[in-house]
Amino acid sequence: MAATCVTNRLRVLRFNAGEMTQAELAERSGLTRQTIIAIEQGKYAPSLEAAFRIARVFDAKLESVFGYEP
Amino acid sequence: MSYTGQRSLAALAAILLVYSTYFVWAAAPGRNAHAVFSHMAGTVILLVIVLIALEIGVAIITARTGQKTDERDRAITARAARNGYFAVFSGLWVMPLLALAGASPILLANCLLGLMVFAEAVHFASCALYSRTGG
Repeated sequence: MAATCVTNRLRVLRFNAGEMTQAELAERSGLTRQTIIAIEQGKYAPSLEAAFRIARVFDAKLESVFGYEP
Repeated sequence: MSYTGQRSLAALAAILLVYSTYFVWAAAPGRNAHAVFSHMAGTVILLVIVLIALEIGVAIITARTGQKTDERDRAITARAARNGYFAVFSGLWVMPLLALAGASPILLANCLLGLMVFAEAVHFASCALYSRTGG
């Protein structure tokens, strides 16, 4: 699959959140760990709803978690 | 690997095993129509049973490990189904040509079954591949 144009700061945000694990982020956002891994590696662009749920876990705005670089 | 990936690999292995056994048997010379169609029906029924058993087995295993599916699994399944449909429609035009060329009913039925098997294999292989590569 082609890499997505949607960028993210999940790794940094997880680090800042006390080294939150991918499994924990998956649990709290209602996604699977495989999906979190794919998003973090830029291989999968999440739906708007999933993106909001991830941002809510970090108590951050959507644009501070995700970006767009065509 | 995700639930979708595990299920797809298991289904792909089952399909290839069951149908390759049938096609090796059917390719032998001297098979009459009645025997071929009986075996074909038996193979399809066997595969349905095997797939149901696999689905239950994988579901039990993934439930124990707490795995679940999400939007990415649904997207992967949809993309893989599209590939399967493409495979069917790519090969379907061969059937009328075979019929016009005077192919026997046994050959036509086997080609049609082979096409369906190929489409299912493409579907499940796509699922497994997309699960591995990120989707």
